[in-house]
Amino acid sequence: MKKIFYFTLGLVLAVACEKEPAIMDPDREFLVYTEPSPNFDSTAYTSFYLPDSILVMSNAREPYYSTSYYATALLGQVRDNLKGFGYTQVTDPADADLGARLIYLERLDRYYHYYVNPFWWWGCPGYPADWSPDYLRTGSALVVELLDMVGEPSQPVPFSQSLYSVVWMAYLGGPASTSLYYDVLRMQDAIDQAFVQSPYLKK
Amino acid sequence: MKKYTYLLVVAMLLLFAAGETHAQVGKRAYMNIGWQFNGAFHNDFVQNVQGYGAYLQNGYYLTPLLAIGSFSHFSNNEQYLEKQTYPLENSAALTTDTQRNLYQNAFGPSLRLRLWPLEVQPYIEVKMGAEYAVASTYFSSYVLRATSWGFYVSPEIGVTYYPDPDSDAGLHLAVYYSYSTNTDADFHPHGLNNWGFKLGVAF
Repeated sequence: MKKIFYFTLGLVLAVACEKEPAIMDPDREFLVYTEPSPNFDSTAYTSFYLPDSILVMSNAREPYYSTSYYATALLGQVRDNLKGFGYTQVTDPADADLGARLIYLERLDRYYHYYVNPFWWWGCPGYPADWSPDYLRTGSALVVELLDMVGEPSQPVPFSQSLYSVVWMAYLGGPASTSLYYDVLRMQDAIDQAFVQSPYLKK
Repeated sequence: MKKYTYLLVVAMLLLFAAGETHAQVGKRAYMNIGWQFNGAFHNDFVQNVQGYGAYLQNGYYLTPLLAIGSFSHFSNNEQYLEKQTYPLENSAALTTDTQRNLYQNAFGPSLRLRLWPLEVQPYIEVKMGAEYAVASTYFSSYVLRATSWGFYVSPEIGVTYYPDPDSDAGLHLAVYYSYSTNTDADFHPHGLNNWGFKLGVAF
């Protein structure tokens, strides 16, 4: 009886753990967060300038500017949405009221994983486990910023060291897939969503 | 004469307390262990019934019918929410799908009254103790957790069945309702309500 008691007690303790979902995004769509600067007024802006490259930053390599097919696709999606909201594109930054800036963030994480137990029982004390890094996961995000280029440059913005203030930002992020092409398609959808949930940008 | 009456009453009480109390026929100690199917309701976080849970309860019969004991169990209730846009302060907005998980772990003392000490033993039980709850919200690569402690109370009716009088092993089936005072301002401001059933083995 005693043996059975201790065996079952141990069994319950072993499984009395919180259930964790798998590290994945069930709908495979990027999270979209948008925020305007306080007192943003779209009537103050009529034109925008779009650069020909996006800044790529990663924890695995040095930052660089990209003019690749994918970068152009993302820039084009922002351009189409700004035009759809009533803004006019200009080619000279000096003539622009708004400047768009895109930053692609890539993060490579090394994960430790149980081989012998269902991975969603993480955190259970006492499991004999083979701890070793067994897979890598990449998370990616796109930050879209609209800069106020009307008149003199205003206060500096931390991180970007820009002389222009950010009047609107969108963060589109989530677990990256193994296909950059697929991720860019998802990011294009996320850019559309960023504008849909920011109706105050409309002219 | 009065003295004899008192002696008789005390003797009867002692006999009552010292009766043969095997779990199935004569043992005083019992233990139930098994699978718990929990339904969470009357809260704004998760409302469903799921079987990611287990229980362990044991006790000791002070009299042939009345036992004191202890219990411990856990349950997980998961719910997936489709993509939604959540308006935030200052016109900010967040669009994402979310996965919610309500983890509950309760433990404490119990009081059980069985109707008769035979092969089939229906019983009623009251549990009181503490509950630890974690309300986790997973979205994209992020998780928000709200942990809480509360007072737990649960009435339970069940039955244990010992098919073989010469064996310690039997079956256990019970249904229960529980309430705990664990509160969360956003999702379960008035505590946590659950109902469910247990299916397991009895010793």
